[in-house]
Amino acid sequence: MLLEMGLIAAGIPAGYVLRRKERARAVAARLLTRAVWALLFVLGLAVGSDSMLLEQLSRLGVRAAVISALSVAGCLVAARLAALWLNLDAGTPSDAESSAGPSAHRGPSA
Amino acid sequence: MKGSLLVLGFFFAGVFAGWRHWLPRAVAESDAALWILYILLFCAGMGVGFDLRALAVIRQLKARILLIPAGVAAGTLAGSALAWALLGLFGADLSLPDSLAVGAGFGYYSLATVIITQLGDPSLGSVALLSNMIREILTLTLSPLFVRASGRLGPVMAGGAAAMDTCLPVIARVSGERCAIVAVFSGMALTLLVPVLVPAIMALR
Repeated sequence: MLLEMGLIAAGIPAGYVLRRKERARAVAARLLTRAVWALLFVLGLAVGSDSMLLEQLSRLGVRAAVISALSVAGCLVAARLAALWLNLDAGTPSDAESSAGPSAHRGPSA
Repeated sequence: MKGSLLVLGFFFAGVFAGWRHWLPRAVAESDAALWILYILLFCAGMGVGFDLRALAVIRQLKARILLIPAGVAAGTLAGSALAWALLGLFGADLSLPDSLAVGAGFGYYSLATVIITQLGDPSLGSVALLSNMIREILTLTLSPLFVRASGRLGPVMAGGAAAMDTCLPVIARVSGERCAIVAVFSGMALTLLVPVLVPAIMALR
């Protein structure tokens, strides 16, 4: 976990230095999108290569999916409740709809 | 939505490629995923650097920030209990602690699987692997929907422990940088909770 925190921490000064360069934001956004694609591909690869896992997929998979779906649903309910107590909108004008950070445009870039 | 389908498409492409053994085993087992994660984390850090005002959210929320991982734990365990009841109706031989232990992975599939398997139930370990992986994939692909359903904290809490790394960039994009900071904190808290909670629940079986 330390390495993960360190990488995030290392990215901060890099982003700060480049904050006024629109090109840097665009590149970061595109890199991010492609990295997510790559990660999901590799994840799929790991699942697909595991023949034992694939065999049991139907039986175990249904259980897993039901648990995941309802766990996430539970968290979404909790999120609604948490929003009542926490106001995350106050303070900065730079939030979801605007252009802060690599989220310079909606959705993954082509 | 198109973006989410594309991400899901890459996942299934990977499953297919793995199943057909198109790439040598070495690639699937390599550190590729790890290096990609490192890039993701660095980019997420850059996102915070682009606008440092996002960090103020911690000072603003103070102790109330703990509500978020607490909410994730409560929501997840409630959902897992409901899943046990539902699966039981269809005849699954899954006990309540089984279902709760799987949910208590909070999306941290590698650790949850290892703990459960080592405690003597590899079958449940596989369920934990799949379930927590599915949870992460759901967050990566459906975050825009989660925001619409539950506000900005939706993806943060759905991501669970994975909100601090693999889901962080997506959270930053759909929920904003301030939520990304919250996600790091919440993910960290949950990451520390998994190795405590999962064995504790397994002991109840």
